[in-house]
Formats: sequence, structure tokens, C-alpha cells
Amino acid sequence: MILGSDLSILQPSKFVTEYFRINGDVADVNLKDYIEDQSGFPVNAIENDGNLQNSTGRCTIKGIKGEAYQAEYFLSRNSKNTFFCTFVIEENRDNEINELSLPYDFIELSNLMVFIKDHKLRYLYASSSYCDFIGKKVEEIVGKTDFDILQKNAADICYSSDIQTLNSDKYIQTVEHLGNKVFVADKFKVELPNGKTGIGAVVINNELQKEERIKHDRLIRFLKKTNEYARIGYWEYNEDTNSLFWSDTVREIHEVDSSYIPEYKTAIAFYKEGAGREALEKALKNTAQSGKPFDLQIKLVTAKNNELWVRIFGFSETDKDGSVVLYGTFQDINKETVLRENLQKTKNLIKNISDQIPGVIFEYFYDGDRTLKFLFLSDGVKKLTGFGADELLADFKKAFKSIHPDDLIKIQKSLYKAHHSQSALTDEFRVFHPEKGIRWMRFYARTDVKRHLNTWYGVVLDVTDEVYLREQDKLMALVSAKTNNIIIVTDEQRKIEWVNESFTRITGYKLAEVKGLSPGSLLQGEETNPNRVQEIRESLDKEHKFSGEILNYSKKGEKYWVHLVIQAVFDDDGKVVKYFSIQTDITEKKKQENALRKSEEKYRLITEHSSDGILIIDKGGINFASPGYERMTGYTQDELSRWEPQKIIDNIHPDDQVNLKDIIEQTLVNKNTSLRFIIRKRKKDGWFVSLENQAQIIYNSDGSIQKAYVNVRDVTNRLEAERKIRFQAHLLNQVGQAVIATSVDGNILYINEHAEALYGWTFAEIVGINILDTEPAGSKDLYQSLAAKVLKGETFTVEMQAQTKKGDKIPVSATLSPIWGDKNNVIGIISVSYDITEKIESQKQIKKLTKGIEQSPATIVITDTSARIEYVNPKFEEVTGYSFEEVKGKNPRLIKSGNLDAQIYNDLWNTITQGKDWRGEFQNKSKDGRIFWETATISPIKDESGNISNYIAVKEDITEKKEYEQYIAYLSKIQSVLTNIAKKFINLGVDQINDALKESLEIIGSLINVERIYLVNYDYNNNEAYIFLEWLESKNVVNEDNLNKVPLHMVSKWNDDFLKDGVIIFDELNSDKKKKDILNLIQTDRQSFHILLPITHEKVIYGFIGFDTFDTQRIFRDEEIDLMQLFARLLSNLKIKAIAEKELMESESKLRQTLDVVNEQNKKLLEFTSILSHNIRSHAANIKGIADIMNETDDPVELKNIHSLLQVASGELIETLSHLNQTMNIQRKRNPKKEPIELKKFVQKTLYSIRDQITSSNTDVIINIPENQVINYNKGYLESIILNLSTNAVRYRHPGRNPKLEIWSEIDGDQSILHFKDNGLGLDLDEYGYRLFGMYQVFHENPESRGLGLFIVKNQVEAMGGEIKVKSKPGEGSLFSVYL
Amino acid sequence: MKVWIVDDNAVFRTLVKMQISKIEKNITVEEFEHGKSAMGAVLKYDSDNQPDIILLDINMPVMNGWEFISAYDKLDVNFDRTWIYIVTSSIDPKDFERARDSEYVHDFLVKPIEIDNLKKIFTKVNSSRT
Repeated sequence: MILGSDLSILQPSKFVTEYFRINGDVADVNLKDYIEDQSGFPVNAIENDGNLQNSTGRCTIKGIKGEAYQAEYFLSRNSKNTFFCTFVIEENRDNEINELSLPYDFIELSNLMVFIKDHKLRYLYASSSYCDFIGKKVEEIVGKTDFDILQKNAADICYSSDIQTLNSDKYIQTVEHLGNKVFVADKFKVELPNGKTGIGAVVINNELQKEERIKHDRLIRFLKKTNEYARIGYWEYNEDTNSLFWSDTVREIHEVDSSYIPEYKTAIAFYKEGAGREALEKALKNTAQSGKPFDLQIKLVTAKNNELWVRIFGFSETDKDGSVVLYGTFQDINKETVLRENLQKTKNLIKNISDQIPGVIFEYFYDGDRTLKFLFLSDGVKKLTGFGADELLADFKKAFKSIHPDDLIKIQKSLYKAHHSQSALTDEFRVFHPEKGIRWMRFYARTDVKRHLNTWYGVVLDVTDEVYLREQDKLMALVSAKTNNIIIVTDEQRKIEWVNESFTRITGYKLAEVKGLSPGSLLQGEETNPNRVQEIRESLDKEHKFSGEILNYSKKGEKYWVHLVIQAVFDDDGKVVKYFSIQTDITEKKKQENALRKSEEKYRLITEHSSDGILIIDKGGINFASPGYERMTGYTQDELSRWEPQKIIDNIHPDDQVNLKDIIEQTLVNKNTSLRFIIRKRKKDGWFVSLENQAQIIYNSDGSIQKAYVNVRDVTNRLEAERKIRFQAHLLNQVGQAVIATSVDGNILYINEHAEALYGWTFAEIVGINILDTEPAGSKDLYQSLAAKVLKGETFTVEMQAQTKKGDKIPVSATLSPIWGDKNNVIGIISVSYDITEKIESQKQIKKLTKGIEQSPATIVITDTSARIEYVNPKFEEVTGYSFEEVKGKNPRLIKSGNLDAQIYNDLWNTITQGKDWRGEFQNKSKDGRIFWETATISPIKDESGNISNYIAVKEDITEKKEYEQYIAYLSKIQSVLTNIAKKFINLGVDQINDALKESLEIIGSLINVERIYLVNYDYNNNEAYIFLEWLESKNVVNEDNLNKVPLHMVSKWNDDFLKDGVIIFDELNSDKKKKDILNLIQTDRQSFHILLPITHEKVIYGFIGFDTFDTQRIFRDEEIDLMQLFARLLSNLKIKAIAEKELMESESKLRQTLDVVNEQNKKLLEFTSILSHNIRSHAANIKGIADIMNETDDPVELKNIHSLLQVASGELIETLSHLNQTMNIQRKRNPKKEPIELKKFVQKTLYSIRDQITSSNTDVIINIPENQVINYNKGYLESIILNLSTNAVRYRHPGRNPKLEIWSEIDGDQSILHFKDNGLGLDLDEYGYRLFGMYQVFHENPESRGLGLFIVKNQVEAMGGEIKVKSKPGEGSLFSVYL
Repeated sequence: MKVWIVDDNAVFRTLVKMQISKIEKNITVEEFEHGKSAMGAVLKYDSDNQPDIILLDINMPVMNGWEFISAYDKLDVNFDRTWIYIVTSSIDPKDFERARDSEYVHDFLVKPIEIDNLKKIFTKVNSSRT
């Protein structure tokens, strides 16, 4: 409610209410001082000021002049001792309303819904239609704010648009809700009579549905053009960035073209150096620093060197970045001045016209009490009263002071009576003219029809002469009655015998002077009609009575008229003895007649030059009609003169006949000689014309009317013109609406300037024409049917086709309302219309746009600048699952998936807040949680001033595309992975397989996001399955042993499944029983999900590959399972390849055996040579070194050490030589001697020779050789082979368990194989395999190792044409298979 | 200065230790029987205990000289301070070439090492340290 606290506004002004606030300390509060100090408001005293304990109350504040202001205060305590008090000072607001009242007649007439609010948003005016609309009486509204009369939420809406309007230079169209009512209001700033800015609003009562309105409103903002009502521009200046913005209007005012980019310096240069420029710079600086707004009117020199005055408002604001932004409006007030001047000129013109009227036209306000004020006075008032119009407008009392004190009370009573009876007022009074003395005035006043406000208008005429004539008339009657005329008695010689007092009084002659004289010679003068004198004589001579008039002269030579009756007085003889003359002074009567005659002449002269008409009426009817009257009515004098009295009356408008009758009766009773009235008469063409009649009445002596001289003036136009004047300032003009008033018959009575502009007719052309003749053919029926309803008192708004003078058809919105007459009858129709071409175009466009938007396959979201959703199209609802109602007002982040980097959104906002378009992709989430992708283009929408008003996002669902892209990317990744892996396995040596597999597992594992992959081999020899390769995502540790050494009979349980489906998926724990068993095997201690795929060839399962995930439910996609299968197939192929290679090698080996042997021998020879030289050299070098150092020392201790060292070195040398000898033997014997050997016995016998080693190491030896097996072999070699392999098993036994050696034989066709399997340390074949059988290769840190055993064995086996194979696993043991 | 001798032959190691003690008392010598035990010490390297010189034999059990060097390569640690000398009785030109091509091998010495050669090596290493 309390909107402002600007203390500076608190001036003892005439305005309704002022607010101010004071802060202070309760302890030393002195309200009077406070108010004076802080507000500058002169305070004389404050009554009941001590009563600030209450939170609210009333008090009276007395101003310095003793005037009292009622004030209401609202007190709130900030703390114990400080308070904060808001005062609302009230004053009679009548004055304010008075000043505003004048223009609103037509609003009332037009039934437009209009209201005006003051700068504090209190209603100053509300049209009755508006009052009806919101269901309140006008007195409940005026002086109140929306918060007082509307629901809170409705008031909030109105308030915000009001504030928007006040802060904007634009014409604001708002949609406001009053409870369940919705209306569209066009709001704009109005300048109030007090110089402040208020709000005017025209409420457009159209038939749009609620939703359509909202849509319309929403879209119109994007389509609406710059408002055309004010040439007000907008500027903005950012000090920090030194950027200056001008709206187009500002550019226009500067007369620069639209591409002109202003800068501070160039902008300032438009003002002449000196005071003006300094003032502006100072104001800008001050506002930037203090934040207080400025308002400057300074002279600008435009780019085209024109000088004009501009008004600049400036405000400051600190934006988000902390930089000060100055902004404001820029107005070309030169234009305004010109307009004002034009208005003044027009007013003056009208004044000139009204000055020609013999009197004063006035308009005044009277509230029935003490407030009386002139609203308008024509300049004639100066002539009449000696006071200028301005003086009297300013101070009504001056007019009262000039009124004769005797008449003043009478006048006041008349005013009061007229006000309360609302009847027309006519009265006479005397005024004191400073030069002419007392003058008689007559005034006629009446109020307008349907008027809420107490405005009266009328005419004052100077009727002094007329009154004097009348007064003298009265005097004559008195005299006549009292003295009974002039009486002259003569003798027979016609000599005066006696005269009465009246004679003396009139002629100046006393009886003594005139006795014996002839009255004729005495009284007659040069102007006396001699014929009349002769007539009297002849009459008297014939002794006839004479009756007639004659001009006489008084003693002073003054002429006077008498009505004279002379009769002879006869004696008894019939002889004339005396003459008796009774004379009535008819001078005044004669004078009157002459005056009339003179004025008649004058009128006739005037009639030739003016539009006034003169009518002379006597008993016979219309005696005379001037050409002016003929023009007014269309009847000629001839026609008029033939009219019977009844015809004359019939010619008068029926409504006026009764009035006229009253007036005439009144006149007859009062014997008024002058009267004025306005009646409507029917012209010859059938139309009525309003005529102002000024009648002079000549009475017969019997009191009947002899003649009436009537000055007739056609006031139809004048009345309209007066209204037009009011209309100049009229709100309707301000909002640009065309007004046409017609009679009930449709004849146009009045059109305003906007109607002239819109329809192309001038007022003069169109007036009197029937409106139907101006309507296009298609609209005539519509208009007629509407008019018929309007004439019954209804009001309609329609959109229809209208036609201009040129015949162009234009769409208009027209509101037709009845004009109410005095008797509550409809006397005409007022049509308020405006061009809706643009609106229709925009509606079409809106329709198109709306349709486009609504049917768009793209998602469209419109938000305000705070990212609150204002609109979404149906596609949005479809895609997101949210309805418009659900998302309205919400932030679009509602549908964020939350998976995108915040940076994307930051970029987005940074881009669009700079006014640029942003393009990108979003991942969003629908209401039901579906994730989808969208491409989005987000653009800021700018309003006319270039400010961002909204953002619009156009988005396209690209989820499928995105998913497809991702899928493709995934597939191509899979492809490349497969290619990579496949490459690894091509031309892969057997020894490289493990490395390649390891890498592949890792690649696949990270690709498909599993945590463990393992390869399980089936070992059919040992009937078990074991993991031979495993990849783990590093962070996860699992029990690695869960699948090690699983008996094959258990594994085989799922072989059927493998062979049938190719894949076993354990995606949940509740698998069937069979699967449960498997799960028991493969399950680790953590919950996991497994996929197992077989590695097969020709229905033989070689093993399987397993993929595990832990703790997370992982659903594998088909293509991932495909990938796993591919990989499994790859592994299968690898297996096949290995088998094939093996087969190939076997078949080739026979062919290439000879060659191989040769090569092998060569290789061995070379190796031998190299080893020989190396080992021998090594020992030799040692010995030489020892010898050298021996020479260097004399120390006996050292020498002893050196000596023992030498012994070791030489021992080593001998050993080496012996080994070499052994080897040389094998190498030498290419074809060693073979003999049949009973294998089992031979093995047992050989082992017996090392029984000490076996028993001391607690080795468990198991021999499994058929008793009867006999082989053909070299005994020495076989012994060496058995010894070497057996001692190796003992030597390299595992420290953690009892050594075990299994020896068994196998017969494969004619090939005998002897296996040696131990559970010892084992060897990493990947690492050492290639040199396992090399010379001097030692793999275990055993002091007995020489690195020759396996070398010798291999050589011996190969010398016999066989081969030796090894399988080994570190920590588990080794299996040597000798192919004998 | 710190010297490692990596050689499976104990006689050779003792011999070299004797020679070193003749040159300078202030040299610490550590012995390793094969590459693997030396590797174990390498893994405990830090700036203090890095050797200045490694005398590395090629033919050794468990982990030979070349295997030691390739393991060394994989460690990806900065070993600039340490100069490796291959000390072998091999006269296989392949070994020589391999030593020449290896970025880690500073020189190739053939057993037995002359005491003067050792002196030169120490002088060289010392001068490079200052």
C-alpha cells in the first residue's frame, strides 16, 4: 500500500495523499521537528502526537498556513528505542478530480472501460463501465488502490503491470485477472495535472477466450511493434564498458541514421558546450554516484543542425558485475511543445468564435457545497465584467466580488437549487463593471447529460439595456396609474387654461408660464409631423375626437412622444367651450420601438454576413425570415410565411415542444421581453438542427404578445465543436481511437480527429451524412442490426469491415454505445473504433506461428529471462511426458539427466545472456526416467529496446541418432579390438600365445567392462580343468583358486549346455539346479555374475572362457555376448591351429628328419665350440688373475687365501673338462649301439643306484610300467636319461612338500614314451623354455647345479632318434616325456 | 664409491675384490651370484645405495647378464648414476655386439681384468662424478 517514501515529495500540495516516513529514536522523538527536518514539510503543530504507542492511528497535522491535514500513521518498532513511522497525509482530492473531469464526458458516453491512476497508483478516475466491470461503485474506487478493492493476487498482477508501465516508456498491454474475470488492458503513462506521472488504461473488452488471450499476449510481445504513442526513446550507458546504447527513437531525435553507434563523447557533443552540456555531465555523474534519478530538459543540436529541446530522465542501477549502468528515457519535448502550441491555437480559435457571441461562454464546476470553480470562460468576460478570463479561472471569488451584494445570495441560492434539482438554471444579477458601473447580466446554465461530475456550462449575456427598458416600462405604468396622464385644458380659442403636474414634470413648463398659450405652438417642434398637426386641427374643427400620437418638445427642447386624445367640451348650446386633452407619454414605448427597428436593421445587416438567422413572428405567424434562417432550415421565407401556427409548432422537435411551451408561459407571466432558448427544428430535408434563439418580445398594451424578434443561431456545430475541444485532451485521442457520434437515425453528428484520420472524411464533409451510407455493402446489415440493439440501450463491441472515403476497406474493432438523453432516452449512438488491420495481421501471423509451433516436430520451450518456462509446445509434452501445466513457471533443469558436465550449462548461459544463439546437445530425462538426447538451439528474444525478454529453445530428439552413433562407435571399437586381437594371433609362435592372450583379455575386459576374465583348460590327460590364464581388473581381488584343478567329471556337467547354446549365462543366483552346481564351482566369495563360453573344436571342448563381474548387476548386450563368442571362437581357432600345426609338424618331421639332424648337429657343434671356449677361458682367466695378484702381495695371510683360491679354480677347470669329455662322447657317437631292454627292470635297477639320494630326500617314487615292456635302446644313454631326470626331480624338489616322482610308460603305436612327473619346483616355461635344454643352463639356486644334465639327456635322446618334451608350472612340478 | 660384482664364479669375485682393495680401501664391494639376486638389490635402489659400477658377467645361472639388463630396462628407473661393465670370458662376437648396442652397457671387458684397467675405470667414474 505504501509505495513511496521519498521525503522530498512531501510538499503542501493540493494532491490527494502524500506519504513520508521517518526513522527515529523514541526517547527524543519530536514529531513536529522530525517531519520538518526530514521532509521540509512546514508543520505548525501536530495534534495527539504523543500517542505513538499504538501501531497505527490518526492525527492532524497543521501546515504553516494553518491548514489541516488529516494523517494516518503506521508505526513499527525496529528496536526498543528506534522506530519507523509512515505517515499518510490526506487532503481533499476534489481539486484534482475537477481538473481531470473535463475530458471524461465522452468516455462515459462511449461506455469505454477506462481508468486513471495517480502516481501512487490510486484511482483518480474510473469510468462507470469499469466500475460495473469490477463490481464496485465509483466512490468505492476513487482514491483507493487495487490492493484496497481487489483480491490480493489480482492486485499483485495489476500492481506489477502498473509498475512496469511507470518504469517503461512503452505502451504496455497486460492481461489482468480480477477473480474469474480476465481482461486485456492497454496501459500507458499519463501526465497528471499536478505534473506527476500516472497511469491511464483502456480496458479492451473483446471476446477473446481466456487461453487465446494468454497466447495472444504471449506472442504479441514477440510481434508487437514499437509503440507509436510517444516519441520517447531509451538509452543505456555502462560506465565500466563505456558502452552507450540508443534506441531507434533516440537516433531519430538526434537525426542520425539507424546504423549510428553512439559513444559517450560523441553523444555529449550533441549539446552545445556550456551550461547545458555541463548540466548533463554533472547529472550523469551525480546519478552514477548517488543513485538518485535525474530529469533534465536541455537543448540538443541534431546531426542536421536543428536545435530542439529534449527531456532526459536518468536512473542508475548496479548490475550483477557491480558496474554501474545508467539508463533512462529520452524525449523530444519540442514536438510536445509544438503540439501544445497547436492545441493552444485551436483553443484560441474557439475562443475567438465564442467571443463573437454577445456574451460569455462558461463552464464551471460546482459540488453543491462550497466548491465552485470556473473551468472555461470565453474572452468576452473581460468586456462584461472587466476581469480577464485568466483572473477568474484562477480565482472564482473575484467574480463573486463583482456581483452586486443584493444579488449574490440570490445567485448562490439559484446555483444550489439548480444543483440539487439538476434542472437548467437561468437568473439575472448585477455586476459592477469598473468602467461602466452596474450592468445587468443574465445567465443560462445547465449540466450535461449522464454526467457524474458537477459541471455546468452556459452563457452570460449583458442585458443591462433590456433590463433598463423594462424597468422604465414599469415606472411608466406607475406614473400613469398615479397621475393619470398629462391633462391639458384649453379654452375655445384652444389656449391653455390648465395643465396638471404631470405636464409640468414632463414638459418642464409650469402652468403660469403656459396659460393663454396654444399647446401646439408651445410643444410642437421641427420634427413633429405637420400632417399629424393638421390632422388634429381638422379633426377638432369638425368637432371630432382625435386620438393619435405626436412628437412634442419639452421646455428644454427634449422630444417626447405622447399618445393624445383631444375632445371638445361642449356647453349646453352645443357650442365648444373648452378642449380637453389627455396625453399619455409614450416616449419610452417609442424609444423601444425605434431601438427595435434599429436593431432589426442591424440584424439584417448581420444576416447578410453571418450565419445567424432572424425570425420575426407576430400573431399572423412568421412575418420575416432572414436568408440565414433559410439556410439553416432549408425553408424559404415564402414557405414559412404561409405556415399556420400549428405548423410552426410541429416543426419543433417533439421533445422540445413542451420545454418551449413552459418557457413561453413563464415569459408571459413575467412579461419578460427577452429570452433565450435552444430548440431543435426539423429542416426541410427532415433532419433536426439545434437552434439557439434569442428572442425580443414586444407586448401589446393588453399584455398579449405583439411581435417577437428572434435571433436564431445554428448551434449544432458549435456544441459539437465545444465537445471537440474537450476531446483534444481526451483520452480517446490519446489512445488513438476513432469516435463517431450519430443521431438515432444514423446521421453523423460528430467525428473526432482520429476518425477523420482513419476514415479519410473531414468533420465538415461527413456531418449530417447517414452512417449507413459510409458503411461497405457487407457491413450495412450488421450495423443496422447492432444499431437497433444499441438504441435499446445495449453496448456492443464488434470487429467489422469499415470503409474509408476513398473506398478502401479496413477492419476495425468498433464499440457501439447509446448516447443517453436527459430523459434517460437514447438520443444517439456513439461508436468508438480503431483500426485492427495490424492486429488481424498479427493474429494471422500468430495463428500461423502458433500452428507452426504447435505442430512442430521439434520441441519448443519458451522461458523468461529467469529461465522460468512460459510456454512449451505439444511435442515437448510428448517427448518429456510433462504437461505444460506441470512445467509452467519451472526451470527447464527439471528435465536434466544430470549426466552432463556443468560446463555445458555454463557455456549455454554465458552465450545466450550475451544475446547470442547457442547450439549444442543435451542429455535429458523424461518424467518416467527415460534418458534421451536432444540437439538444441537456444536463442534470446529481444524486445523493441534490444533487451532480452525471453529465451526460446528449439530442440530435436536425437536419442535414436545418439544411441545409434554410440552403437556404431561401440561396434567399430569392437571391430578394431577384434582386428587387433586377431592380428596378434596370426603367425603367432607357440611361445607367444600366452602373451598375446593376456593382452587380449585385458583389451576385451576393459572394453566390455568386466572385472575378471579367465581361461580354463581341460586337461584330459589328468582329467581336470584348471585356469591357465586370468585377467583381473586391478582393484578387484578374487579367490583365484576357485576353478583350479576341478575334476573334469564335474565340469562336464555343463558341456551339454555349452554344446547346445554355446554360452551359459549366470545372471542370477536362482538358476536351475544344474547351474547351481556350476555356480558352486565358479562362485567366488563375492556375489558375481558370470558368462561362460566354450572353446570347442568338432564337438570337443578344450576349455572355456569366463567373464565375471562383481557386485554390480551387469546386463550384457547382445553385441557384447557376440563379442565374447567371437573371442571364444578365436580361441577355438587358435586351438585348432595349434592342433593342425602339431599334425603338420609331425608329418613334416619325418620328411625333414634327416635335414634336421644335420642342422641340429651343426648347431650343436657350434654351440659346443662356443661353450668350450667360454668355459675353458673362464677358468683360465681366473687362474691367470690369481697368478697376477700373487705377484702383487707379500702378505702371508693373503698369500694363503690366494693359494686356496687357486686350488678351487683348478678343480673347476678339471670338472669342466670331464663334462666336456662326456658330452663329446655323445656327440661323437652318431649311431650308438641298441639292445633290447626290459624297461621296468632297467628303471628300477637304475634308481637303485641313487637309492641314498631318494631315501634321504624321502622321495616317493611310483613306477607304472608294464612288466613285459621291452624297448630297443642304448643302455648307457637310457641309464643317463633316467639318472638325470630322476636326480633333477630330487634335486629340484619343492621345499614345502614331500617329493614325489611318478614314472610311467605309454605306448602309442610303435612309439614308447617314458614319463617322469615330479611335484617339485617346476619351471616357468614361458620364461625359460627356450633354453631349458641348453648347455650350462641353471635355473634353480642349487649348489649342485651344473647346467649339463638336461643338455646331455636331450642330446642322448635325439641321438637315439627320439625327442623329449616338457610341461611345467612353477611351484607345481614338471613332466618330462621321453619319446624313446 | 660402490661396486657390485655380479658373477656366478666365486673365484672371480674374490679375485676382483682383492684387486679393488689394492687400488683403494674406500670402496664398498657387493657380490651377487647371479642376475636375479642383483635384481633384488636393484629393486631396493634409492639415491644412497645406488652402485657406481656394476661388473656384470654374461653366463650365469637363474638370470644371466642379458636377462638382467632387459629386466633392468623394464624397471623404468633413472639409473644414470650406475655404469654397467660387462665382464666375460666369452669371445662370442654376438655378445660383444649386443653389449655395444645396449644403452645400459658402458663397456665390455674380457676376463681376466688387469688391475690397471680397474684403476682407469675408477678414475673415469670418479671424474664423471665431479
